[in-house]
Amino acid sequence: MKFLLGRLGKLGLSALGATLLVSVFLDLLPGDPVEILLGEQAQSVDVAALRHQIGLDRPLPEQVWFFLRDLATGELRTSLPPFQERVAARLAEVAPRTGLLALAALLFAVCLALPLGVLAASSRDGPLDRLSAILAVAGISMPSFLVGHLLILFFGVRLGLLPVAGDDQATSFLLPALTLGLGLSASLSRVTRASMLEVLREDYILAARARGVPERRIVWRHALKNALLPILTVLGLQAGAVLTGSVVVEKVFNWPGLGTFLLTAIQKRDYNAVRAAVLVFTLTYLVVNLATDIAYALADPRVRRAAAR
Amino acid sequence: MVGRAERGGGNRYALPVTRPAIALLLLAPSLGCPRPAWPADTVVLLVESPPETLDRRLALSAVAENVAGLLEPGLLRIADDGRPVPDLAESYEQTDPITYLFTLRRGLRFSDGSPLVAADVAATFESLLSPRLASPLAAKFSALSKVEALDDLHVRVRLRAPLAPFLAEMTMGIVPARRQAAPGETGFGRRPAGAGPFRFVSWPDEEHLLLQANPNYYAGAPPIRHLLVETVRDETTRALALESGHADIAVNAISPPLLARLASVPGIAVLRRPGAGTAYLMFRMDDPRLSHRKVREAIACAIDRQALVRYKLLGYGEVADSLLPPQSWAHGPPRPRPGRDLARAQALLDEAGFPRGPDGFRFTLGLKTSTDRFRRSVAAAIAQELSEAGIRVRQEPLEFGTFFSDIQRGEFQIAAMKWVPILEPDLLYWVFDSASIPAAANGFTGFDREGYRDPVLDGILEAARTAPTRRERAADYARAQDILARDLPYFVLWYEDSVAVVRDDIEGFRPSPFGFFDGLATARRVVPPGRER
Repeated sequence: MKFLLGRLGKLGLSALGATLLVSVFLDLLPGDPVEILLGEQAQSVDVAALRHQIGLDRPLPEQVWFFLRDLATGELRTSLPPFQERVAARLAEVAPRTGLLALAALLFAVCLALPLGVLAASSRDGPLDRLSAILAVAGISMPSFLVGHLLILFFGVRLGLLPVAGDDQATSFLLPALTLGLGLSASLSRVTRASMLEVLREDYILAARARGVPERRIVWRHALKNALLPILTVLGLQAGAVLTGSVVVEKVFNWPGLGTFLLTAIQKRDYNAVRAAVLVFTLTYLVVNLATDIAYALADPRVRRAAAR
Repeated sequence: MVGRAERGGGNRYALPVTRPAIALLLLAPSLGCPRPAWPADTVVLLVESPPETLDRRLALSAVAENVAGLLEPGLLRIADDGRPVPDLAESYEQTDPITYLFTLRRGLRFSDGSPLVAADVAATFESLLSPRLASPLAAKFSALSKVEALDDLHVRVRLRAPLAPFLAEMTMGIVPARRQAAPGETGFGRRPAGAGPFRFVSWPDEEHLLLQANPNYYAGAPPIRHLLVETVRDETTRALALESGHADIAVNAISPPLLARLASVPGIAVLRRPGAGTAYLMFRMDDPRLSHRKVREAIACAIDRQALVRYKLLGYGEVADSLLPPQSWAHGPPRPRPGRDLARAQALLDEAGFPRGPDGFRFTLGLKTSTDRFRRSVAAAIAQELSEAGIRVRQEPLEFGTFFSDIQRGEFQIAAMKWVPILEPDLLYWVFDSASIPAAANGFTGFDREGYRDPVLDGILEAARTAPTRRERAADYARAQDILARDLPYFVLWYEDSVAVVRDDIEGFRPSPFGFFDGLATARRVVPPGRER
């Protein structure tokens, strides 16, 4: 419990730090939101009036304070007229869509990487191991926008099996999730292979083999279970990559999620929307890492005991 | 025994993700929020970004203006030659230098069935000047003195002083008088009503806007029954969406390299006609090097516009001879469009007092451009050509907000830009008259961001604004264009074609030189021969 409370406290501080940092960066960014909004023919008096109306003429600490206050009371709205919508409502609309992509991408990655990594380790230096290495290098080095376009071309245009863009069909999430998942599975399969190789060298594996336990059982039951801890760690860290990767992938697939929301907000210089989106990204990343630590503790009694002390 | 143990063990060895994977696949439809399917007769128009509003009085982006133009037409519209011609108005006449009398068509109705009368017109223009609406376009209408509804069919418009280009502003969309409060109060920009060929149905999210043929349109409901305006932000995905049949039309939303590919795809037609958008280089006139006319001319001589049009634009354009496009009534007869002359460029730079240094270069200039892939590749080609003349170019691609901000503030040496389709030659006043240099006196409006001043040109451009006849205005603009071709505050590169990519079952769509979407009012979906069911 103490462990959990401590981590939650750190989580809150990190989220606050991220909000402050992003506010400072936004302040440094060239490009005035009001000038972008009002366009080229805006009179300077109109620009000044709108700056005052949306609070841009206030000092930065005051702007951040108003953001946090409005966020806490649920009154936070997007900064720019004519439609100043409630940010919470917009986030509630877009965040689950990115959540779906991220979850599906992680599942794709695990489903692909675990068997590939295990099989590569079991047949070390064999053809399967080499094939898995080639696939991993390709997956790591190909940018997600290229993978996305290739998948659209193949599954959407050539085969006509899946929607090319948007989110208006039940299967629309498959291609963007696959794109995100492929990059992740590449690194995950290499970690799985390395972890499995290490475990397969342990004495208890040798003992199991000496007792005549079938190899399949040794690999999938005994070795994989013990090789999972480093894989879990990487998976937790990669959750951040999945979230940031969603910004590019959502644009390619026209997926109206948090990434698209953030990108549009940055282009418009909608400061409230940018801060809120970054806060959601940060909190998600921190919560996933916390969950990874908890899972780690559950999986490894040594970690649990260390945390209890 | 062993067999049983293995079977049982098989379940235990199953990957821990199988159940969550199945659960996710089952839950995905609800998380993905699929909407009810669009009507079967829907035609999908792709756009690059969502319209920020559907209220033409507030629309700034080309997408918003074009989409809102389908819903809310104006008294006049711009014909293909750039002349304002009647639209909701049946006719108009200028009764004295500052007064215009417009006569509306009989029986006009808004899409909700209510009559459109002169009072709606008067209220629309009053609202544009009202601080309650706070329209960013209000400055365009500052010349208005009074708009009066004389009866249901006649509107009198008075100006403060003669202003010839004013008629082009009469294309502003007319909206119902009863909904002209502040946009936040009526939500007009989100649920508009107008008298255009289409009417608003729904805007379920930023990416999808559904319109329907308006049965009350004065020219009759368009053959397209439902029109879905779908935002696809990624250009390659837009091209693939058209290729797969997911979408039907995209207007000026695909760049030349992808157009060349789409032109060879069966089932797709690439329609083009000369466009009214001009690409150019803008020189900052107070820069120590660029202030020399010979340096600007040398840059013009060093750039091979023909090659750029052929190899970068892949022929989807034409080398320019003026900022005004050839379709404009004010363009006048064609001017010389000299090709590349590297020897002359070098000689001009020597004459201007900029010999080559030990590293082979004379000086370095910054070239700012947007981050658009195509624009960056053009900037790279220009940089290469200028380097051959001894000018080292520092390419500075900038994200839109930063680029816009730097241009507004005059923080550039050379900027590669494009004017959106030019409707009114009065643009020359806004771009080159010294009164248009952004300053406190003009509220920092004005597009003379290059800081160009020429008292002779100022006199000509100001005379053209008040000249009583179009012929006199055309003569003024011809003189102005000659001066600009000599002084080169801008080096015009090319006119980009207006290009529409359409599926071959869409018939009757003709791209507008200005990129308007009005061709959708006459387009129809047909079943191509051989594909009948």
